[in-house]
Amino acid sequence: MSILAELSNLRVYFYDSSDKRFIRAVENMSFPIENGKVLGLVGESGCGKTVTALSMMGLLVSEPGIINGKFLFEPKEEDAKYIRSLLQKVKVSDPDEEMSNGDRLNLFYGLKKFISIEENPFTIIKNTERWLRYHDTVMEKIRGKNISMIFQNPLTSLNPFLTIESQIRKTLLRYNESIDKHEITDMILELLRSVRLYNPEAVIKMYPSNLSMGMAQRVIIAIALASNPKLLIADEPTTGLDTTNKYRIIDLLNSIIENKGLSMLLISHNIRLVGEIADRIAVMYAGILVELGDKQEILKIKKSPRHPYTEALIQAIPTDYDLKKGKKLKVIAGRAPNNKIGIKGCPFVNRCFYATGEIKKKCTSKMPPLVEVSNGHFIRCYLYFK
Amino acid sequence: MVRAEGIYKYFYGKKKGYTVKACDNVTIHIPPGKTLGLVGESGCGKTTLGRIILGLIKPDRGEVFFENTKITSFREKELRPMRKNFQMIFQDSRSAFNPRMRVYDALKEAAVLHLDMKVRIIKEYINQLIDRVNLHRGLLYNYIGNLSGGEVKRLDILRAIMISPKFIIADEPLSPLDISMQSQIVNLLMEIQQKKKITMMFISHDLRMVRIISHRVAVMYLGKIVEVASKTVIGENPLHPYTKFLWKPKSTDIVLKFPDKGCVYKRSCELFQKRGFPSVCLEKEPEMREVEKGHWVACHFIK
Repeated sequence: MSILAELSNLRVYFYDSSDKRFIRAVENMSFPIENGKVLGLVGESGCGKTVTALSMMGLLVSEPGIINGKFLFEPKEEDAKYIRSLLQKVKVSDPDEEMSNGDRLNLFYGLKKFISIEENPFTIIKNTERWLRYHDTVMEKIRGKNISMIFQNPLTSLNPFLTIESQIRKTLLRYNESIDKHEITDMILELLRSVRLYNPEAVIKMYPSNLSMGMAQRVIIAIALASNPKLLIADEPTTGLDTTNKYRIIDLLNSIIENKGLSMLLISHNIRLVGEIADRIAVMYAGILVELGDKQEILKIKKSPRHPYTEALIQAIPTDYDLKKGKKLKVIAGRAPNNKIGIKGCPFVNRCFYATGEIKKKCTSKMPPLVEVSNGHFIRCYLYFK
Repeated sequence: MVRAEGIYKYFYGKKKGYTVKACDNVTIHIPPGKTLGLVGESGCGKTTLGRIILGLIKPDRGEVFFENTKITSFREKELRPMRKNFQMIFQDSRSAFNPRMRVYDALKEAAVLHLDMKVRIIKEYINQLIDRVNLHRGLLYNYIGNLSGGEVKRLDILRAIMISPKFIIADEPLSPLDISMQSQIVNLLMEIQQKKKITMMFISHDLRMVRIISHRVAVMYLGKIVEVASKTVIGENPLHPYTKFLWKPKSTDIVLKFPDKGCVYKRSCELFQKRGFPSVCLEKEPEMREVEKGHWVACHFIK
C-alpha cells in the first residue's frame, strides 16, 4: 500500500509565560496515513489530538513554543512543482535533513534552521514566528486544496452573515478559477446532494442559523469536499450531534471515502465509533502515542496484546451485557497528568492497573519504547518489552 | 410527586404557517424517589418540556403539579419559595456560573439565599459536599474558566444538590464530556440519587446511558411521547418502531417536519412501509394505550 502522508517525530511545546516554562502538548508523534485508508486518532480530551491535526494543517498560530519534526505529504501534481521551488529557497545548514522522499515533500522543511531547543525561550518564540510566516506561504497551496479539515463545532465554522450558497461558491471559486459562472449553482446543488442533504434547493438560500446541527455538519462536509482534497481531517465530527445523526454522519463519511478514494484522519474520543470506519487506530495519551495498529487487533480479538490505556478506553463504553446486569459503569480512575516537561517514565503509570511492584519502578523511571508486537502493531508499554 | 398533564407548547415562526410543536399533548408522571429518563432526537422538545415543568416557560395549555400543588398558575413571586424544591443541571454548565466570581462565592450566594445558615457553617457544608463529588477542595478558589469540563459538570451537580432539592432535572449532562468522564458522572448521579432519594428526570439522546440511570423511560418524537415503559422493557422488548430504530440507528434520512394530521412518525416508519401505507396512519393520530402493565405505546398496529 502506498503512503500518502507521514508524520514523524512531531513535537509541539507551548510556552507558559506565567510559569516561565514549556508545557508538553505533543511528543515524538509519528504515524503514516495510507492512500485511501482511514486512520482513527483516539484519546481523552486534552491529550493533544487536535494540536496534532492543527500542526499538520499549519494552523498553530498562537505562539507555540517549539514545533519540531517532519511531515511528508504528496501534493497534487499541479502544486508540487511550485511547492518544491518554495521549499528550495530555505537553505538548510544541516545536510541530513531531507526535503523530499520520493514524491512526498517534507512540509516542515527548514524547521531545524529556525528552531533548536537549547536556546532560550524568547529566541525560540521569535524564531517560531519567523518560521510560521514562511510556512504559511507553503501551506497556502496545501490547505483546502490538498488537505481539508472538518472542525469540531459546525456552526462556528460557517459565516453567519452569508447564505449557504455564497459560502460554497466562494470555496469553489477559490480553488478552481476556470469554473463557468452559469454552471456554479448546479455544482453547488450537486455537492449538497452528494452529502445527502434533504431539499438542497431550499437549503442554499438559508443562513447558518436556520440549519440544525446535523444539516450544518453536512454543509461543512460539502465545503470540505468542494476542492477535491487528497486528505480529509475530521476533528470530532460527531460531538454535539444526537445518536441517530451521529451514525448518519459516520455512514456518510464512510461512503464518501469509498466513492472518492479519499484518505481520512478521524479524530474522536469514542473508540467504538472510530472502529466503525477506521482501518487503523492510533491511541494517544498525554501527548504521546501509546498504541498504533489495525482495527481488528485493537478492538476485536480479546487476548491479543493491548496497551492498558486502550483496554480502559474500550471498557469505559458500556456493553449490552453491562446494561442488562445494571452494573456500575467502569471508569478510568484518577486524572490525566499535568503535561510538565520534566515527567520521566510512562505518563499513564498512576492510573495503570498493571503497574504494581517491580514493574512500577521501571515504569516511573524511564519512558517505555514503542515495541512492534506483531506486524504493524506497535505498543508503548513495558509489559510487552523484552 | 411530579405530574404534567396535557401540556401544549407551540412556537410560531415569522413566516405564515410555520409552527414548531415542541410539546403536543404531553402527559408524564414521576413517582417520588424514582428517575424518569426522557429520550429523543435533538429538536424534539425534550428541553422545552423540562423547562415547562420547572416553570421557566409557561405552557400554552396544560397543568404541572408538584406534590399536588398546581404550579402553572403561580406567578413568578409565588413560585420563588417553591424554587428551592427543584433544581436543573444544565447542558452547558459553564454558563450556569458567573465567570467573574470564584466558585466558592458563587456557591455561597445560592446557599445564603435558600438556606438559613451562618457563613462559617456554610463553608464547612460546602467542603463536605465537595468531598462527595470527588473534587479537590482547592478548586473552590478558582474561577470557572480555569477548570476542565468534567470538573465544571461536577460543580454544577454540587450546586444543584446543595440546597437539598426534592426534584432534579438533568438536561443532557453528558453531551459535552468524553467517554471516561461520562461514566464517572453517571455513577455520581446514581449514587446521589440512591442516597438522598431525590426524584429525577434525566434528559438525554443516548439510550444506553438512560437505560443505566433511570427506572422508567419515556421516548419522545417531534413533541409527542410515543412509548413509556420500565427500563428493562425498553431495553429488551421495545414495541414502537421509533424506539427500535433508536436502538439500532441506521442511516435513513428522516425529515423533521410536522404533518397536518395522522401519526407524526409515519414518514420514516418501518411498519408503515411494511404494511403498505395504510390509511389509518395517514388520517388518525394514534393514542397512548396500555399494552402490558406499565407499558404504554402510541401506535395503531401494536396490540
